[in-house]
Amino acid sequence: MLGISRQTDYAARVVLHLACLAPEAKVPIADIAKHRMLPLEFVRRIVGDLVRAGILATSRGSGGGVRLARPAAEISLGEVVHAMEGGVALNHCVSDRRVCPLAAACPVQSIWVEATHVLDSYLASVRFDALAQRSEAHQPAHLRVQAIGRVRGARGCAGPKGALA
Amino acid sequence: MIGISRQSDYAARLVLHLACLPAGTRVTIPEISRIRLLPAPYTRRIVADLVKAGILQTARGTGGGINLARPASAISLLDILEAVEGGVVLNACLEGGKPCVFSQGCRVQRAWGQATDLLQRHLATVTFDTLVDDSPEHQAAHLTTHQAGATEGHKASRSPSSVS
Repeated sequence: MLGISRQTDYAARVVLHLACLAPEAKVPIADIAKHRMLPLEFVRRIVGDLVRAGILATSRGSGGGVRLARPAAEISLGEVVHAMEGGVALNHCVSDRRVCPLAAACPVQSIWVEATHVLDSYLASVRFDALAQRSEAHQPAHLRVQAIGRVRGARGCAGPKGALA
Repeated sequence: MIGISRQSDYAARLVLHLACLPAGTRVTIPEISRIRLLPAPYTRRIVADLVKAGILQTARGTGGGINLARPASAISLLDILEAVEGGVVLNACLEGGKPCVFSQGCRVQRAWGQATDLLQRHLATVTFDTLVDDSPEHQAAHLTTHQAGATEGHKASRSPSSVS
């Protein structure tokens, strides 16, 4: 199946979690893992990747934690995909035409390039400020799950009441 | 990296090969593997997936082989991905069966869904008749490569001059 990895799915949730908080809010990684029901070690690795990509910033010490490195309006879903997956390239001949000597004039290669562009441009247009806007339908889902506690098969996010989209 | 599998890449080349031949032309799997430089057992598996999806047809016996089950104009790149990869679904939360408990009103899920739709719609518009029509320059590239012999790292297709 053509799709994103589990890491990217989780990374988007981590960034969304921070985008839903007050600007500049800093939280411990363990908090995000707990609220979003993600394995702590996994979140640590993902945060490392997102920091390297300039999407998150971390600080140590008391009051330390992780926060968005820039406003949510300036972070796109595409950047998260790039940080986690290394990019979008529907076929290997898209990222490196040299892998195939026929690529220069191959009718299928140009289609993979176009489709890659369609996907990439869309993902670049999706900003986390828009994703973080509270949704009336989403909020009850969070609260419900929070009320029941850890749910089997829940790959999602439970947040403090009212604080999350 | 978000991308198609090697199988889909090969399947697209295989269907393109048949689409470039006169309608109804049947070729054997060893022939197509040789010409497109694909490992024959691999090609067989891909052919089986494409037959199950109604994209290719096989015939046994003398003069047997594989051919397109329908006109190239009725086969899209999306059909190939669905046959070989099971489809385009950017995130697991979009698949049926195991829905995410938070999916109701989740804006990220909606974004993955829209990206999936966009990609599906785009790939559905690309039919193999247009890929064939697009090929005069490709023909020249094939001929050049053909003359030079198999190039190292060449995972593509070496084909007779009749094939784009």
